[in-house]
Parts: sequence; structure tokens; C-alpha cells
Amino acid sequence: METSELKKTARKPFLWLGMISFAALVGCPLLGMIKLNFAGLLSFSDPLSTYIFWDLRLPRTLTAYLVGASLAVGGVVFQALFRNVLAAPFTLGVSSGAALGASLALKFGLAGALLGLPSSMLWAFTGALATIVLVYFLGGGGRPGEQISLLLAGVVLSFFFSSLTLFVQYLSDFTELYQITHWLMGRLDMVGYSSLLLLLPFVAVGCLGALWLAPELDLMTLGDELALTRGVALRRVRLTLYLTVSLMVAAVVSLCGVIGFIGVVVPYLCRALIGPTHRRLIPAAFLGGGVFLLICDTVARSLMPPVEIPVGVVTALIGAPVFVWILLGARAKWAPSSW
Amino acid sequence: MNMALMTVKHLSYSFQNAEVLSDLSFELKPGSHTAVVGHNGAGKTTLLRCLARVFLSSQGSIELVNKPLCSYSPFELARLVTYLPQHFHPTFPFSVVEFVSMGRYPYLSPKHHSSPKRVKMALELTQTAQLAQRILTELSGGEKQRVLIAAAIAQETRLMLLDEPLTGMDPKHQDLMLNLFKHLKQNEGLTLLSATHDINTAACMADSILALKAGRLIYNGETSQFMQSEILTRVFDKEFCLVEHPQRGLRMILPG
Repeated sequence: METSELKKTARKPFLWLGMISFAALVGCPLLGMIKLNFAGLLSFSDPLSTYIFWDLRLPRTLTAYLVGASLAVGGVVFQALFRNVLAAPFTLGVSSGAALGASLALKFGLAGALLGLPSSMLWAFTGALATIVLVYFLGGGGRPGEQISLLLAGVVLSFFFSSLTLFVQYLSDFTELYQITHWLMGRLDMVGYSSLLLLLPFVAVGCLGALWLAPELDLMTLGDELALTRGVALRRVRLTLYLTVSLMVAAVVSLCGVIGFIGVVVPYLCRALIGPTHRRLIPAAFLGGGVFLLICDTVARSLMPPVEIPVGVVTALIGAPVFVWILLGARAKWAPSSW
Repeated sequence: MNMALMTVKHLSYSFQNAEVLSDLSFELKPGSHTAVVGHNGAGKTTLLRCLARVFLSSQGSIELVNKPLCSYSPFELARLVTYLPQHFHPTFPFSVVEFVSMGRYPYLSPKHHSSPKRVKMALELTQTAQLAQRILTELSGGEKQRVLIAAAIAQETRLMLLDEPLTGMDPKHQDLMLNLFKHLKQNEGLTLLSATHDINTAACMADSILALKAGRLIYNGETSQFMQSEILTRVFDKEFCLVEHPQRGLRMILPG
């Protein structure tokens, strides 16, 4: 195949993902339980439609897109760091730390509201930060060959914090229990422009940092020996990626709770679509994750009016069958050598 | 001025209080091919990892081009030394050409690590050009090994550390690689250090031998001197039957 032809073929998935993203970002805020008056919306003559569109749906749409994109990019990075396609942004316990923080805030009414956001968010972020620091030091500080220690520290702390969260739930009354459970399910109904602005720097640093270190991520997937002897400053790169991406995930999980599945499914699908090279995979995962969560959230808030389904439930309900379908297709196509 | 490319003095390496390498001293001359031999667990791989700075030695010094190995930045070191590991299990489905291109990482801006000319040459030299678009995870052991050697060539270094470089290759490709090593040594002035458990392979490819036994250097000298029954017995604790190669005039060992 000619080089120009190869370049065109390589660009195709990005064009598609870009067009779908654009369509979703324009279309999703127009959909929902309440039908918008388009004429009134365009001429600003219908206050209800204007309010719903500009103050509720648009920030929520943009946040859903950014959250999905962050979780997918987080998944890509953690999968490369641990050389495991099943690693997810929550593998190292960030979500469990955040859940514990949020549960404590909801149970004990801890103070700490910030920019009009509830205190549970700040405490969830504190819990996530504490987990990041603890996992890093317990896991050997990211020394070469220490990924297993890091992984083990993350899994152990994750179980420990999950048990503490369960204990807090056990001690809670009905209202507190409902609030905690609702938080744990993951939701996007609390967001506005202020939360979007708070999220933005974390997402920018996490995603751009991952993109900047894409060649290093490629080499790290080959193993420590090859990465080191090709010139990767392994410890520094690993620390940078671990911190920037974990902070991004911490910000996301503090804002929206635990939204599962995206961090595993989207990187897998994008890798199948455009290959494992991170310079292409990271932008693809960003676009794919954004679209996936945006569509899931639109379904979550439109499917059963007036009830809103927690978006974490929808991501798994849509994602799991899609994933199984793809796995079965892959098995049929590549069996028996790959399976 | 020391003319050696690499000088190792009193190198020791311990792991969990057990001494794996003990007081090793030797030099690698530019444009030479040295084989590290020894029984399983003698410390061959550990030695190569110390020289590649994958492991940091516990004691002693390693100098590369008259500078301590530890004084090089990761990029500088990767432009001088490449390492081919004994085991390589790729997890992600990179194509062969993508993998070989990664060997160029230390040269250019890390953000644009591809140099088509050198990569193409490396693929052609190792006869892996026809595998260029194949997925790394789907290659056979011997093919994977040739691709690893291609990536090491693409890295364009002065010293190549090879851990069991011919593992899994059929005789035709073993021969091809032996000729390639000779070509790289003579035409590019490359220095090679290969760890192998196969004494005949070592005899065929190397000018000199380092023989390890329980982490200690018990022979450091020319290959022709090494291929003598008393030295081989001292290294491997076994009697060998030696014969002369009818065409090359080298002494080889017979199995059994």
C-alpha cells in the first residue's frame, strides 16, 4: 500500500470518531425528558427551554464527554503501565479511597463545600489523594520491576477502603444509606459549569501528559528491560504518569462517583480499531470514551422518565453486551491461535 | 588513554544477600565479539543486565568509553549500548515495523521516533522485511528473536549485549545471524557481548570467551585456547569429546 493511502486509512477512524463526537455533542443536549422548544431556544424567548439547555444539559453534556474521555485515557495509561489489558483507572484503589471519603462526608456531615459543590466531592477527592500517596509508597515508589508491588498495594487498599465504606454504610440510617449508595452508583446530575471548570485542568494535564509520553508508553508495554535499554527514564516517567493520570481519575471520581466499564472497554475497542501505538490510541480513546459516556448518560436521563437511571448502571448494561459480542466475534475470527 | 570500549573492575552483584556475581574484571575491545559462557545460573544474564544498567552493581566499577556507566543519561547510554533480553513476551499487538522503529527512540526527539532508512536496513539485514506488517504476538520464537535483533540494529549503538541471541532459530537462520554479527563487527565496528549456554555457538561466533562459574570469572581469553578439554571440564564439571570442524578449523564439542 502507498504511504499516502496508508495515511488516509489511518485517519479514517479519527474522522469517524470526530464526526460522531461532534454529532453527539450537538445532539445530546437537545434530547431528554422535557422536549425543548427549538424556536424559543434559538430566539431566547422560551425561558424554560433556555434554562434547561444552557444551565442543565450543556454543562452536563460537556462534563459527561470529559469524564468519559478521562476514564478511557486513564484506562489506556494504566493498561500500558501494568502491561495488562484488564487494568482500569480504578485498579489502584483511587475509586475506593474516594468512595470512603464521600461516605464519611455523607454519614458524618463533614464540612468543606467548595465553589458551591457539596462537601462529599472535596472529601472524595481527599480520600482519592490519600490512596494515591499510600499506594505509591507502599508499592515501592515505582522502582523498575515494582509494578506488581504497586498493583498489589492498590488492590489491597482498594479492598480495605471498600470494607470501611461498607462499615460506614452499615452504621448509616436510611437517608444516609440512600445518599451513599446513590453516590457509589455514579451520576452526572450534580454537575454545572463550576464543576466542569474544576475538572478541566485535571483532564488537560492528565490527557496531554499521557499524549506527551506516548512513545514512552509504547516502550513500557514491552517490559522494563527493553524500555530502560532504549533510553526511557523509567522511574521518572512512571511517577509522572501515575500522578497525573491518578489525579485526573481522582477528580473525575470525586465529581461523578464510580462509573465503571469505560476504562476497560473503550481502550480495548480503540486498540482493535487503530492499533496499540499510543500516539494514536490516546486521542482515539479520548474521543471514544467521551462519546460512549455521553450516549450512556443521554440514555440514562431519557429512558425512564421521570426517573433517571444512574449512569454507572447504563455504562455496564450497554458496555458488557457490546464487549461480549466483540469478544465472541474476535474468538471466531482468530481462534485457535489467539485463544 | 584506555582503548577498551568497556572496562569492568571488581564487579560484584548481590540479590537478597546472595552474591550472584563476584569480583569480575575484564575489558571489551572495540570491534570484538566476546561470548559469556557458563552453566545454568552461573550469572551470565545478571552480568549482561549489570552492563546494560538494568541492574545496578553492588560493588566495583564499569566504565564505558572512559566514563563511569552511571554517569550517562538514559538517552546517552541507549545511544551506546543496546540489550537483547533472553525472554520477550509482548502483550500488545504492535506490528514488527512499529516495534523495530522503537529502537530509534534515543536518537531523535522522543516525540518522533522513526528513522525509516535505518529501520529498513535492520529489517533487511535480519531478513524480517517480509514480516514487517505482521503482529509481534503472532510470531514464532525464532522470528521474534530475529525481530529483536533487528530492533537492536535499528538502535545503532557501539555495544550490543545479546542474551542467548540464537534461541529458537533454525540452522539456516542461526547461520544468517552469525554472518550478520560478523558483518556488523567488521563493517560497523560494533562490539558484541553474547551470553550463550551453547559452547559450539560461542566457538563459532566469538573472538574471546568469558567463562563464569557460580558468579566468578574462571576464564578470560581467546576462544581457541578455551576449546580445550581441561578448561571446558573446569567450567562445566563434565568431560567433553572435542573434534575439529572440517571446514573452519575450529574445535567443537560433540554431544554425549
